[in-house]
Amino acid sequence: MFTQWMNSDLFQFYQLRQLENLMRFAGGNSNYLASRLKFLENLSVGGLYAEHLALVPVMNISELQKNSQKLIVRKRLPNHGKRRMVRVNKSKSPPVKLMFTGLLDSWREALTLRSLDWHGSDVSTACLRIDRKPDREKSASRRPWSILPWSGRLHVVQADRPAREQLEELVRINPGSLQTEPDILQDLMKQADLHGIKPENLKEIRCRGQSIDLELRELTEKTWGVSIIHEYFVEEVGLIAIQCPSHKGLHINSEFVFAEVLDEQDKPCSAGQTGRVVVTPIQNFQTPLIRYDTGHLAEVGKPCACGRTLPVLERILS
Amino acid sequence: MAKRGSKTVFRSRDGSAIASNKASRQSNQIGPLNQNWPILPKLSSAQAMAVFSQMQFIERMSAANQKRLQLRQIERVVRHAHTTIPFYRHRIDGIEQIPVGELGESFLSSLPILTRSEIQAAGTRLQSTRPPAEHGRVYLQRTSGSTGKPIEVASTGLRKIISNAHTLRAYYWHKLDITQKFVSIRTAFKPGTEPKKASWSVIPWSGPSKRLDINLPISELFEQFIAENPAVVFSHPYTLMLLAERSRETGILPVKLSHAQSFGEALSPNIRQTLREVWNVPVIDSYSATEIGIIAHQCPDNEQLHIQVENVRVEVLDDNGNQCRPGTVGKVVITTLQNFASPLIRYEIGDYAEVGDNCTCGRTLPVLTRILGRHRNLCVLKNGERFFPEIQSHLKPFNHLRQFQAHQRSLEEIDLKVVADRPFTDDEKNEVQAIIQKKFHYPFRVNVIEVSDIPRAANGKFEEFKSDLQEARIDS
Repeated sequence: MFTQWMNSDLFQFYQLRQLENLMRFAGGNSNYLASRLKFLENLSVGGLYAEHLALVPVMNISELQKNSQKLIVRKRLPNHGKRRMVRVNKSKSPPVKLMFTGLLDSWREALTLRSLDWHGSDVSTACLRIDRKPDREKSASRRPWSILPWSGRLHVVQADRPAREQLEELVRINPGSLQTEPDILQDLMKQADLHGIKPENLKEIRCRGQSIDLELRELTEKTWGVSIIHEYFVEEVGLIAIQCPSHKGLHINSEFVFAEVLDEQDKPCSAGQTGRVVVTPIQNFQTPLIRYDTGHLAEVGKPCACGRTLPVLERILS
Repeated sequence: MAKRGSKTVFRSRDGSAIASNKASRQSNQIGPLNQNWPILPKLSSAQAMAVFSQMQFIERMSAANQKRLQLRQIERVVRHAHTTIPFYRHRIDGIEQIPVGELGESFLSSLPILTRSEIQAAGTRLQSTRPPAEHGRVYLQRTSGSTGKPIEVASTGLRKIISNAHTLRAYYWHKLDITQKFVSIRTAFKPGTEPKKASWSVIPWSGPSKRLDINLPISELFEQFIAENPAVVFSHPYTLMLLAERSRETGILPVKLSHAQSFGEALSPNIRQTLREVWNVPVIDSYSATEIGIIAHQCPDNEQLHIQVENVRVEVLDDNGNQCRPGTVGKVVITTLQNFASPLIRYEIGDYAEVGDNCTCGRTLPVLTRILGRHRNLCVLKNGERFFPEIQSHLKPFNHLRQFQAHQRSLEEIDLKVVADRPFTDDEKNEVQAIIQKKFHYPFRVNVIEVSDIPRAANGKFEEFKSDLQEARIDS
């Protein structure tokens, strides 16, 4: 909570130290990563600057698919909790297996709380999630939708059900919060518009995905009078950025991920420029993804007027 | 990075030092490479942060939900008090007939008011015979007692955790930079009890904290305060004002100071103005008591106080015992929600406050517009009227006046102790009397008494006005 207001020089200092911790650990425990992090051999402890990152090759999705087993560090970390294998399905490509930890689960909850806090969510209401993952409907029933003790119930509807049925569930459950992805929401809104249906209690729509069209934002505001809250989420990484409560740009969760936006020459973009989003999740020591190319484009934003010192992505492009 | 002997110094690109291994360890900050960032805190700190996270949501939930959750917690306290605290056994009559989960406002309002004298008389009978084990260590807490009549209550580790969470809320609301230095000016630690390492919050990368003795002579205190050069200073309003006045006289400013936090006394607009003029810093007020903990924090958007509903239920009652409406002033009556070792149920703390309307900031926590002071700070007129006098701004024309304290001795007479650069002339004494008579709307006889110093109470508090008549009323 407090790091979001931290002096940006101090923030960057601590973030780089954490990144260096991760790199040294990764290089010392994985031969594959050691070969990618050779520059560390000549770097004194505590000497990592952002510029050094250019010495580490960027890893794209196909490289991750090919080498995911080599990335996994077998050494058990005492403070990182229980380990588990996670299968990440990427469209048009074979799935990737990564090792996640209990610590990462705590991070997921903490960042979810940040998002709920920023946008003043009322968690005592019900929440409906329209989920792409199979078999979630039954497992989620009667579970609260946040770790806050007075949270309302989470209801899940499978995304492969027809939009008409999804809408019926939305009306029946009458949630305060709707969580889904932009394309699913698009179909749902079309149905709602067609039948003139408006969920009475709905106060927020949380969209996890890459880009959100302006038309979709306008449609939800016009049809339901509800704004979209954009959360930039990548399954193999986690919640990378959350929409600022004061404007449409997104703040990077820099305590959790080191994000770069690179131009065609792999140079960092300045505010107003668009480039590839390359991330290093700095809390995952079990599967260190160092300089992972998400395959998305983003426009770098200026420092935010809200006062938060977390870096800004003005928008994400597909 | 550069190495100097055994000390590793980390530098920013422009060469300025950001942190060092040694400095980081000494100031309780993160070791640059040997620890995760953000740090996984120790259990009690993590609990305080987790409570604080919940409070972020409580403060914005609907007032009805907030009240419902608070009522359930009060029910837990009241039932626990009834079954485990001898003092309450007969005071909380009829609770056995109320089904669990259905204790309501009307039952609470029917419970008798608890006075300070009753707490003193009850002694250990006010302590639970079975404090919940999960609430941690039980210890005794003694108020310093401005009146010289301290009270003692038992407290628990849980209360400390909740208190730390409320402290975080104030820092968060007012966006204080907790990496900087913090100085609190209050009663000194007892010899041998000063912590070796002190930081000013449970956040692991908090900056250093230093406590200065409020009872030092102001010149000495000022020297120490300037030497510490803090970003945030925490003290009683009157002490803050004396320090600011000292800055004005000497031209020496605390250059890093960004905020002043006040507690323990009613904060007057004059003091806010003085600190703004001399130090160019805002004052963040709070309302608390040793036997209770935090009661209210100042809103980040205005000067009103938000009641900390997770720690206390606050009633503001008129002379007939009815709840005051927004805009009116009444007696503050408090029920504590987190102390299961010595819960205080409907405790008349002795302060007067003005009830506020809903706050424009969007937080649904109830509002007190201002705290006016205690019974003994009320001036009593012959016709029975009572009011909280404000004298300071009216004595501003007397440039040689350094300090004063007014003391109502009777319905006809007020003693005004003054510390001044030179003696008051007879004309000036008459002028002071005329000002007080005009402002108080009564022909008081004012005795101007020149003294070399006006000491603060043992707890460091200072009262600009006190009345023997109100003191007599409470004692009776």
